[in-house]
Amino acid sequence: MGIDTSCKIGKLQLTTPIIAASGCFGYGTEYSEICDLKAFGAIVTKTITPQPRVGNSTPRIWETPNGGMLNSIGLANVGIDCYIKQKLPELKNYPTKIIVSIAGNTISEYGEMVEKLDASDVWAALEINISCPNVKEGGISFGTNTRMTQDLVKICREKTTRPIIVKLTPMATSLSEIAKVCEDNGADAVSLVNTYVGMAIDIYSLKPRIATITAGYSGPPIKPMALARVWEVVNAVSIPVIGMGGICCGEDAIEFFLAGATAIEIGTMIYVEPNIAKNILNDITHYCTLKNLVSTSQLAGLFLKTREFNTTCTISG
Amino acid sequence: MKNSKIFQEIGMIVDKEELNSTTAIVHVHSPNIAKHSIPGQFVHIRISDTFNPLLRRPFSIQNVIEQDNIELLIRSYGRGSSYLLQKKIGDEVNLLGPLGNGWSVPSRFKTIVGVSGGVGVAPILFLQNHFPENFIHILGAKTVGELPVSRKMIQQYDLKIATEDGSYGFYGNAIDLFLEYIQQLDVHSTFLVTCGPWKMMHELQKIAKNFNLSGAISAEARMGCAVGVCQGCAITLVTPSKLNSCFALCCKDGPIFTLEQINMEVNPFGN
Repeated sequence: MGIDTSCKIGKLQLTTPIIAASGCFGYGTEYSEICDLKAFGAIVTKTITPQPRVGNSTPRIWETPNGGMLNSIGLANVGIDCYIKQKLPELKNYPTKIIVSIAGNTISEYGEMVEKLDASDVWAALEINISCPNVKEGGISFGTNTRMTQDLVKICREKTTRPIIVKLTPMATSLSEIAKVCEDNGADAVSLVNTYVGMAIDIYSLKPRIATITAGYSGPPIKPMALARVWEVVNAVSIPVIGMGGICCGEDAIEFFLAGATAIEIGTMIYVEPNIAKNILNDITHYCTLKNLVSTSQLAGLFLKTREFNTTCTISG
Repeated sequence: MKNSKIFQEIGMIVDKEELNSTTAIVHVHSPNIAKHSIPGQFVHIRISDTFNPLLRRPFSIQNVIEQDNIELLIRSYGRGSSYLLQKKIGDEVNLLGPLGNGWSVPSRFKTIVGVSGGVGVAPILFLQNHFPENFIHILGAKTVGELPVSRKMIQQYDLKIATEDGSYGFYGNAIDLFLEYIQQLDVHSTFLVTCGPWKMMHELQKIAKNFNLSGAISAEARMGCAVGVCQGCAITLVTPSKLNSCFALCCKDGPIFTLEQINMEVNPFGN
C-alpha cells in the first residue's frame, strides 16, 4: 500500500512534506531539467527584495573542512517588479506549489511587497525572510527582535489571505518567544533554521575566506543544532513548524519529523545532489512502511508518544 | 555556442594517464555529457558520497573522446582534486554537465593564439581540437616536471612550451613567450584565448589592450551549485551587465568572458 505523503501547513495543502529552501532552488526553473520536481511539495524561490540587489563582494562562498558551507551572497536578486513580471509567470502550472520568499529593509516595504504580489495567483504561500545574516538592514536584525517581528507579521497578514510562513534565525536568543509572536499575529507557520553566523580565516594570507568576514553557515554540521531549535519551537507554538538545517538524507529528515516538524526544507544539499528530494522521499516512505504507518504525517506522533511514556515512567519511578 | 541541456550522469573512469605525482589525465565514460559538450564548458563533480568534501568541484572538459568519453585534467590543489586524483580505472564519478557557455570565436578572426598556464591548458586544448588550423598554443609551467601535458601531446598540438626555470622549451613564463610571438601577428585577425593563474590572465588583459587585441578568458571561481542558483561564483565586471549588476556568474554567464568584460583587479578568490 502506498504511503500518504501529503501534508497541511495551515490552508496550504502539499503533496509531499519536502520543500526546496529559499536561495537553494533559484527562481524555480534552473534545476527543472535535472530534478524530479514532483518530489517537492513546494519550492521556495530565492528571496526577493523591493529593489534589485547585486549582492555582496567576492569571495562569497567557502567550504569548511568539516563539510559545512559559508556563504554571503547578500540577497542578490532581480527585485520584486522583475520577479512578478518575468520569473513568476514561468512557474504557472508548475507540478509543485510555489512559495515566495520576501525581505525588506523596513516594515512598510514588506507590506508593499505583499500588496504587489497579491495580484498574482501563481504562488500559494509566502515565506517572510527575517533571518538573512548577510545584509546590513532588515534580515537578521528583524528576526532577533520581537517588536519588529510582531509589526511585520501583522502588516503582511493585513495584505494577504494566503498562508504566511515566517522564516526564523537560530541566532535569536529568545527563539520561542519570536515564534510565539509570529503565531499571535496571524502567521500560519514558522520555518527554521536559517543559517547560523559563521566565519573562517585564511591563516596564511591573514584574510577572511568571505569578503564580508562573517557569513551564513549551513550544511551537515549544523543539523544537530538546528534540530534542537526546531524541537524548542515545536514545544512553544501550536502552528505548524517547518524544520530545516543540514538535512542531507532520509534519516536526517525523519529526525526533524519526529521532533515535530510538519514539513522539512532542503537547502545546501540540493547543490550537492540536485535530486536529493526524491531520495529523501523514498527513504521516508520506506521508514513509514517499517513502522507500520500509513502516512508521513504520523511520524511526529511517534516520538512524542515515546516522550510521554518516558516522562510517565520517570514520574512513576 | 551556448548549449543549455544539462545532464546528471554517473560516469566511469575508463582511462587514466599519470603525468606526474600531482597531475593526471582521466577519461570518463559519460555519453550524454560527451555528446553535448562544446569547448570551454565544464563538469561539476561530486567527489565523494560522504561530506568530505561536501560541495561538487568544477573541472574544465579537455576533450571529447570517441563521442562517449570526456577527458579531464586533474591536478591536486585541495581536498576535492586530491581525492578525485586517487580514483582508479573502473571507479564511478558523479557528474553534472556540460555547464557554462563555451568559447565563442567570431569568424572574422583567422588565427587563434592560446596562452595557458598550468592546468588552464584544458579548456584551450578542447578549443584547439575544433580549430586545429592556425592555432598557436603557448603553455607555461614552472618546471618541466609540472607540465600538465604528455610529450606526445606537445607534438600533437605543437605546443610552444615556456618553463620558468628553463628546464624545457623557452626560458621564461608564458607571457614572455607570448610577447615574442605577438610581433609576428596581425592583431586584427588574431583572437587571444587564455586560461591559467589570475595574475597571468590579468597581465595578458593589459597587454591585449595595448596591442588592441581581441580575446576571451576562461575564468575560475569557487562554485556551489554551478547552475546559476547559489550566486557564489560572482565575477566582477568592468561595465554593468543587463541587470545593471556589476557581477556576472562564472558558472552560467561564463566561464568564458571577453577580455574587456572582466575587472581583473578583483580576483574572485580574494586579492
